[in-house]
Amino acid sequence: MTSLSLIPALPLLGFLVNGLLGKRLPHAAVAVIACLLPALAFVLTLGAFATLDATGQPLTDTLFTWAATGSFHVDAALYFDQVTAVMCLVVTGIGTLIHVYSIGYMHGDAGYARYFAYMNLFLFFMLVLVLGNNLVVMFVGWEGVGLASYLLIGFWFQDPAKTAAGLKAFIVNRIGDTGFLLAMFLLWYYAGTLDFQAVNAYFGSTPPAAGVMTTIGVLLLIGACGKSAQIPLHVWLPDAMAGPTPVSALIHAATMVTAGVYLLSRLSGLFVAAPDAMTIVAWLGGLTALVGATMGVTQYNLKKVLAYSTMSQIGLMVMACGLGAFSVGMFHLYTHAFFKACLFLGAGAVLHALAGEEDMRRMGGLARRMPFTFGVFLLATLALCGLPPFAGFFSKDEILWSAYASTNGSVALWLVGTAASFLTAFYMFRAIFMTFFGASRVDASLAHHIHEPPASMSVVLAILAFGSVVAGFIGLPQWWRELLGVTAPFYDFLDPVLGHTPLRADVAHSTEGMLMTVAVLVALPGIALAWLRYGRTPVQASAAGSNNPLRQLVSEGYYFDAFYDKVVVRPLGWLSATFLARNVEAPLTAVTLLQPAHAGARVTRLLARLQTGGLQAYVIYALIGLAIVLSLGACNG
Amino acid sequence: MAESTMLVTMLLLPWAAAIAAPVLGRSSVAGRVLAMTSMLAVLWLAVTMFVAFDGAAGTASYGVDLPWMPSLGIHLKFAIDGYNIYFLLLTALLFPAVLACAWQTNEGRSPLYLGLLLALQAGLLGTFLAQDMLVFFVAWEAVLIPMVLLILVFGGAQRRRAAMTFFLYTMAGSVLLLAAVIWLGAEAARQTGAWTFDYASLQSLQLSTSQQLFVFIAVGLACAVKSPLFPFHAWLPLAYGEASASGTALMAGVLSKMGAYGFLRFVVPFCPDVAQNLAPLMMLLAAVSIVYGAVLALRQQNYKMLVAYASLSHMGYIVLGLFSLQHTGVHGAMVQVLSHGLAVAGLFLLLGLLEQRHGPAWLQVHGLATRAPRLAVVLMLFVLASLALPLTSGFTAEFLVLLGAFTTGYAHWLAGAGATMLVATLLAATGVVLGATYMLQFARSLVFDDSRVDATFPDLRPRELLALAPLLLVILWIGVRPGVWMDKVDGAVGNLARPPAIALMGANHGK
Repeated sequence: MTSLSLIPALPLLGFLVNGLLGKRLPHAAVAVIACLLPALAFVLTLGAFATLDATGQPLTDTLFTWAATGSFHVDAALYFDQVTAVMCLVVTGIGTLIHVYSIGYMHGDAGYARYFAYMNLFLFFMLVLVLGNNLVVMFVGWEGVGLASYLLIGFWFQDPAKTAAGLKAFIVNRIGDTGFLLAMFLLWYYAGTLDFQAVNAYFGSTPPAAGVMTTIGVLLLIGACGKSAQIPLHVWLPDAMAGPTPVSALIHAATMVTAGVYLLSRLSGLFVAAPDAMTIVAWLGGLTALVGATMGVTQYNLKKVLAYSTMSQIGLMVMACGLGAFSVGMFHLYTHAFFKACLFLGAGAVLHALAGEEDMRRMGGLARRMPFTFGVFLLATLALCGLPPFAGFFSKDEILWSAYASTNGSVALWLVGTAASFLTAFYMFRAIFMTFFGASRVDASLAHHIHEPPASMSVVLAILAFGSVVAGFIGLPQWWRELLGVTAPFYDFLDPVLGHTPLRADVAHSTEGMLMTVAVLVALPGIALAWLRYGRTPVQASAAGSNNPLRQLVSEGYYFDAFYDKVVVRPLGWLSATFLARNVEAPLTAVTLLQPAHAGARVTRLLARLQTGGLQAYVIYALIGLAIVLSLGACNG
Repeated sequence: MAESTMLVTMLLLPWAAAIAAPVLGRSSVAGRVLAMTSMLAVLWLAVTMFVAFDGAAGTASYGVDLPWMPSLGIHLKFAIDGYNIYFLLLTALLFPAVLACAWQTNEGRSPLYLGLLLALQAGLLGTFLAQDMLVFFVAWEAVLIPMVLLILVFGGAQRRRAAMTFFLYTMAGSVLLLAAVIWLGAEAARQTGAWTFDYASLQSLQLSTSQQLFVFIAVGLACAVKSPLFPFHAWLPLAYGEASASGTALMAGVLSKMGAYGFLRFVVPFCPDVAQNLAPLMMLLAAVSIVYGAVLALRQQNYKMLVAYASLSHMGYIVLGLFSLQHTGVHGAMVQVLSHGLAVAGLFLLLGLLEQRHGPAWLQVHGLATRAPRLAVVLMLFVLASLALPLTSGFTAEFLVLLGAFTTGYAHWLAGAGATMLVATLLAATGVVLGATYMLQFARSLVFDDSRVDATFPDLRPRELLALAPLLLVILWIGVRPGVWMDKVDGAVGNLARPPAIALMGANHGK
């Protein structure tokens, strides 16, 4: 077992120890085990990263043959290249930090050991997902993180609403997973292998017909949509906020939900050979970015604002992938992990202080009581809004630039992305003004309780806030690089695997500066508007929003849930309980139930004879049947 | 010689114990201990033989061959081969678990119960290990009697009706099976001049398409009833619902596999051309079974009926994979035999444990996670195996089945040979989502939902944990590392898989 396989093995060990013995261990021991093992995994990842950086050669580790028969062969094998390295560092790094934060956040919870066991289990599956050398190993992690997510969303299982949310997340993800599976079958049919490198090589060099490529691309996209909460499979993400807040930060913001982007990037060699699929990916991402942002505008629940924001930001990453700007998508994934984790954990600090209150209408004025929390939340918000020089600025700007300038891009896509940026600035500052400014609307019974988070939580917040500020400097845009005479280590690092964004020949670099200015400028009116609506005028604790139908449409999440309920859930229920159970199954079984009252008289008499006649009747019956069948057989012969 | 001694011991031990256990009487634990000892000895023998079995060769080993009725060419011939090795292991694994779970019940103390259980095991071992088709038929029938009595004596309120339905329904299938067996022996006599029921000899007969069709329908119907497949499952709700936990666990776990065994042992090898021609129909039937069972399970309030319909759905994967007639698909079907057998038996046994603890009101149990955390965890693991989560055997099986079915279906569709198989595969793939839905609804209601009824009952006892742990171990083992298991049957699978009618794309397939 090399150090590569140790990376996922360590959190697995943590899961086993805390899962089996955690109840008997003191909380301190549980926490140390749960945090130390992921931290070790992070150190090992750093080691692997250093090796990779020095040699430029991907690390591999074949553990055993998972299954082999005929021409089918799948190894349980790990693969660590540049893309894996980025994911692995984010997962173990941010993951460890969120574990540390959880020590304080989950303090005193009855399910303390169970919580950390699940969190370690999540890290294990997530690392399997990113380290897998083929689609099967990735799928193991892919469904595994779904399980961990399901368990953690419904962590407080006494509440039926929370377990329902977990159930929904798993089932919606399963729909995506079915697409993933079918894509895998097609890949195997054509390429005869499921190893990522071989698949990319095969489809890059000898792609089948365009229709097949589009089908494969769309099926993979369906998989990505489920995991990464893209339209139309995004409906589980807002509900998933039922889980503890650090879970939302780790799983539903920084790592698991970005797995779809990783999948697209991992198979970039295939996607570049499927131009139609790429266009669909780009537009679906753009659409999700915009729609997600509009939904963030109407929410009063602080965590749900962040959930829709996550959906929207991942939409931007998916759009980048569709534009062929895979490394840019990865860059946004990496910066987003910092500031979105920081935002969620900041929100967690607020919830912690307010005894679980999530409604922004019952917050307000918290900046004075929790200046530190406010500070880190503001820094992360600025990063999310894409204001220079914060981390989000560089990554988001590069996506918008790709939307405009890449060969797949268009002004329309750029406009979609820019509109999403405007809305992002608006809803985030709306949240800031409602939460931290104005008069306090906090319930009197909670007001005296408001406090800054304990040290274990604030250290993590500080680190993530710092990351939100500086993380972007390793990926400066082209014309900044030329201006400052520096390189972009992030893009250079990923270049051997993901290459450069294919740019149109006719775009001038001067345009880049202009677009960047627009992107920054568009955030400012968003902030100003938020101030006018929610900063200057006091927010009412009972504010319910207007009844205008457009607002209604948006605040109801465009009726996606209602639509699925009408079109899928209820018809299935009818099919199950009414049609099949009553109209098919009941008559089918009634015939054989030997109910004299219901069966036909002749059948009854015959069967009654059979019953009373016992063995003798049966033998005669059998022999008659036998004779008939045998004579039939003889005629055939 | 030592090898055949082992086999004979394994076949005779349950019979001997079945006779001895009731004699030891009701009051003492001696009967139970004897039964358990016999079952553990069978398990030990089965595991030993499994480990030693060389699957790549695909040839029979541990053979024993005694003439029975030489004039008719009937031999008491038994052996282990790639076709039956999973079935053997499944039978050996489940019986001790069933008995251990029923250890403290009135049922478990009854000498009759012990005798029936052991006779059932003996019959099953005979069915799976026979290499002579008439001996197979006798054993197949011998299974029916103890099973019917188990339902009749230890079942629920409607046990009489359930037992009779089960009996008549499977009997109707058996008649057809017997007809095919006799006809095959006669055909052997016609072609070779001597009666024989030996598998290998029967398989080498040259059968015309219409003759194959007759065998296919006769044996296939018997198996479709036994598995069961939609629309031949009408006995299932009543039988699974009324039998005691032991009975249901064994019916769903092993007896249903007799149908699967018949398909892969006789239907496909004896009727290769017809099997290939009717494969689209069979795959469609399997897919309809999968979806039908799954949709019905969605709205079942009764836990036992929910698992019963889930079982119907999961049996469909075996037939789907087998009739893909493609390496991965057939392997998937084989793995599903083990996987489904272990998972569904585990679920029914756990429901039985709840029934033991909570009496007649056990169907209203909720919130296991707080009341009996160990029970909740074990149940959850079986649920996850049932919904085919990766790292459990369920995933290995469903993945291989669907991959094989898809490959065959897609190849046929591309070649213009009809879309039925592809449609069937896509239909079956919806089972992936439906399966997760009803299984997690089940778990939510039983394990998590804490808002109703408060009752306390003891958590899983060490004995019960010990009974279920081996099942879980195998489930996880096959999930994590199926390769070592698949190697055992690779030879048999190679015989069942047809070279694809349409070559697969891609240079890598040639390797």
